[in-house]
Amino acid sequence: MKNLLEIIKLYKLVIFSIFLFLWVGTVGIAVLIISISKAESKPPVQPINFSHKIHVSQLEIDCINCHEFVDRSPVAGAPAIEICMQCHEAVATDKPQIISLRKYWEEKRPIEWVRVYSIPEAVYFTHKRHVKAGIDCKVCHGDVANMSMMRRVRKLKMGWCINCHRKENAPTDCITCHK
Amino acid sequence: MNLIGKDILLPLPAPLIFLKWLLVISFLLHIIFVNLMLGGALFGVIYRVIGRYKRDIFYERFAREIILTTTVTKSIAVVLGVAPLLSISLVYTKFFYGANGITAPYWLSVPLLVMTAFLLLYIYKFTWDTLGKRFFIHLLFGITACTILFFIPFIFLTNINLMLYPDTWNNVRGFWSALVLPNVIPRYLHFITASLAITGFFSYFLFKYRAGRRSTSDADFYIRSSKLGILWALVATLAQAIFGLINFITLPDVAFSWHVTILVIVALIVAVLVSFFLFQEYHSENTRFGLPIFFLITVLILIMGTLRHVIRENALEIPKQVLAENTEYYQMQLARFKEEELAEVKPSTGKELFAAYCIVCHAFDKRLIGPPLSYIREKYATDREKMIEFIKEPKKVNPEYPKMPKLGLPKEDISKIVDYIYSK
Amino acid sequence: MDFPIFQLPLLGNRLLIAIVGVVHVLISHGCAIGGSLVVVWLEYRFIKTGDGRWNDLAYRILRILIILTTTLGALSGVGIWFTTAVVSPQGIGSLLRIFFWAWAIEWVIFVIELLLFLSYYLTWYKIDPEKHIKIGIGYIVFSYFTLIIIMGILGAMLTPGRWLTTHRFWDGYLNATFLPQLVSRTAMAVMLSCGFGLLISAFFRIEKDIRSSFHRLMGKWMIISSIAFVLSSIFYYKTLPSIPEVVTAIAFNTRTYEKYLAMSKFLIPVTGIILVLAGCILCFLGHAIKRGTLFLPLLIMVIMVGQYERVREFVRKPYVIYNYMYSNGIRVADESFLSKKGILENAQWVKWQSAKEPSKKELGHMVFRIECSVCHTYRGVNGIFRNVRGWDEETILNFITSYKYTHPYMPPFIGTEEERNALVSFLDTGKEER
Repeated sequence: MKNLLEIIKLYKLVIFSIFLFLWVGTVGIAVLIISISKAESKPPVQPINFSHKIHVSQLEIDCINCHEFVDRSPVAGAPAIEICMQCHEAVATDKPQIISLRKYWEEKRPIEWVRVYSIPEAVYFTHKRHVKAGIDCKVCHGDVANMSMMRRVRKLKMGWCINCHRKENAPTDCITCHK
Repeated sequence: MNLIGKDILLPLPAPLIFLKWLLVISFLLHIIFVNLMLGGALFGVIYRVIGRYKRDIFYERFAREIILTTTVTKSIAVVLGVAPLLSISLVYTKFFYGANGITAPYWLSVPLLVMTAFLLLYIYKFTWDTLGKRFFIHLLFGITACTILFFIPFIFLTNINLMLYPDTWNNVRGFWSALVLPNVIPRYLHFITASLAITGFFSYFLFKYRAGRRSTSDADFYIRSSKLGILWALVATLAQAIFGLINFITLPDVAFSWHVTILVIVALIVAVLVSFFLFQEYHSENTRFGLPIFFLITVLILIMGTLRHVIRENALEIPKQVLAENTEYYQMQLARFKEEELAEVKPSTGKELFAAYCIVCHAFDKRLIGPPLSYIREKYATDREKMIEFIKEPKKVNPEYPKMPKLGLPKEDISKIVDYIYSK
Repeated sequence: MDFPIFQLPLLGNRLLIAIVGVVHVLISHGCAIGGSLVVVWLEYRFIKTGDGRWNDLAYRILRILIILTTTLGALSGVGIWFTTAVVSPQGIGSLLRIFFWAWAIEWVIFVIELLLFLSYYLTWYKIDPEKHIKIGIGYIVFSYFTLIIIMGILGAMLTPGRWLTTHRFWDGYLNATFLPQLVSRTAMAVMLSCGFGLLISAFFRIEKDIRSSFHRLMGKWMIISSIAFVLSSIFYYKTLPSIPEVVTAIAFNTRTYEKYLAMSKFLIPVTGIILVLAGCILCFLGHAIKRGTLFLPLLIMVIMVGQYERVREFVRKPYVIYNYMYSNGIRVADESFLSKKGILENAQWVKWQSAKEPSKKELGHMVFRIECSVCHTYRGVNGIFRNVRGWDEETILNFITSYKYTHPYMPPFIGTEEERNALVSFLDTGKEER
């Protein structure tokens, strides 16, 4: 025992250095992993600073008013500019963001929205089926009504989908989604 | 609800980039002295207690020497606080004042709390010997001062955090609901640990310096004090890795960018080097690492200051855009209104002028504020010029009525009003 | 309307600013600017006479002054920034943009002043007095500099002069009331230093001959500075811009005590005479003064300074920056626009603070909070419900419509007719009965 203590004293610098390395190294790796996760869920800057908060929470516009095809299509889709112009032909036309919007409309240029939710191509997911099953948009997409900037609230990993499928007695065999 | 609104409609007094640099640098200087004040007060209390129970006069002397430094550090901390306060009020006016307003009663209590803590610290310091016999009473002053000093950062951090996330303002009612927002409490823990570290470094340098200038018996005390400082610095720096990590985990996504990660990684590397040198310094007799340690912690502090600023800019990127748009929109509306106003028809007939200037106080047959027109017509039935003169320079004539204010109208307009009054 | 609205219950926002501001004036003028003079003079006496007791007295007084300036003084100064940011964010936000450089330079000088007085204190007894007193003189000089600098800003709030059109810094800074205010405040500083000097010395054990000599010194200074203060204040008052008489009336005395207006105009001269008398007593009967009475000169000075600052603040009404911004933070330039558009349309903060479907009375409450609550409480100081006591609804409406003529010290009502009616409804339902 005494020998051990003496050895520690002799090589204290080395032992400390190893400890330091492990300590800070662990933290460093944790930082990197967390960074990746944060980078993915950070709300991306969109070409037009559209605020769901104003339109859904304040103006009480339903999701389906703009995401028209969500109950009829596999894809929810971002609304066509035509839908925005239904109101913004006349509403708030002098606000800078609306002026930008109008430019897209007049030049017939699509707005290049930055995608927030995506799943791998090999996975078959259809909005229509889930909406018809009565699942509220909030369940997967979070409290969009209160988001000033759209952000991803979950990764839509397979395990999460399967959990819900099990609970709601939906099919859980592979071919349901991996067609 | 858009609580961001519009900005102050006056230009900034200096280029934005200058004000931002001023903010970052002056804040760093301020916070270093705040750290020293907090750490000094804490050490001044806990080592007094330890000294009492360990029966080693070293601890009490250490406590006393460190508490004496707070005389200087706390005043410098306060005076250096003004520069960042003014800079942040300029660069982020809406966000900073918005947060101040939301946490108002607590924000306003800060000067009073600081003042009380300072007075208690003065008492604790100056009665060290005279109250020395009544240990617990003396200690009470120190403990109360420390409690106050350790509560105040909650108020600051709540504000400085709240200002970054205007999206949360709708859901926050005041200080306590803002306190529990991410990531105030992790920041607080990070800040306290930093205070311990900085005070440790400070003790190391200060007592090392004093050791070099005193006789051998005194030098022993100072060397031991210096080593105590190194120990605190080392432990706190290592602990910061954890508190920093917690901070990083709880950082709201919108404040994140890869710059933050890079700065954190660099800071970790610098922290490793500092710890390494500190460890050596603690175990060696000939102290050689003073300069590299000083250089490294300066770098570390600069990195931290930059980190804060990057996080702030990330979080406020979109809100600043919204603010600029709101301001532009308002100015445009105002300009348009002013144009329309100029084009508007100004009251020109006697009737229009009367409606614009007189009708507020004078009705036709009843008393409002001034006498009714029927009375006026009768009074000046024969003397038109006198009525014009009176309207031009009203005097108090009737004790029953208040004095009519001078309206500053040109004579032609008064003439038209008078004609109108006669015609009714 | 662009910031959250703070209301200090019962005492009201004005008193909050007033108390913090006056405390700061007392300590900064009396303990720092004036106090440095007293301490250095005493050290000079020591150097001339060689009597070490003067040195000790100077040191002991300095220690108390440092405690006062570094706690009450510094924190009330910071307190002014905190309270104005919460009570009048538009006002202070605008002033900061206009006069930032003045404050920045003043701050640099403060830092130097702090370092000077700390070293003055810490090197006492440790270095040669002839060298030591030079640090003290540096302290006096830098202290006085800070006063000079703040004069420009304080003066510009009342007499911004050509800044209104040119928006240029020097046009605002070197304004009409700069010099008169500077002279009167210099006299105030010396006068207050006597008040503090006497009060502080009351707590010390000092030998009889030194004490009577000190009393004579303070007495002389007090006579000269009180006379100078009264005369320069009158001169300052004369340089104020021509304002309606009714504004001057409420500046000197609140409307409740309007009948004592004539008397309150004499408050400063009369208290000045009392101080001159006190100064004479100190000069001739300095050895016989009981220590328990030594707080009296400072108490009288507090009343004088309180009145001085009150008049200075009130004659500026209804503006916080004359002819540019009203006390409630609304700019003169926005007045007609907001009257047409309505004050509530973009006032998100009051809605945040109310958080429900507002009734007409509640809308009126919101209007009150935006435009009136900066000066009026509900039932406390200047309580609005007490001011309209016993009025019927029609009288209230008439008043709101026409008060800009009879009460020019209040910002005019800004808003649509609907908002005006809402305000009337609010006042009517809350007013106190006769």
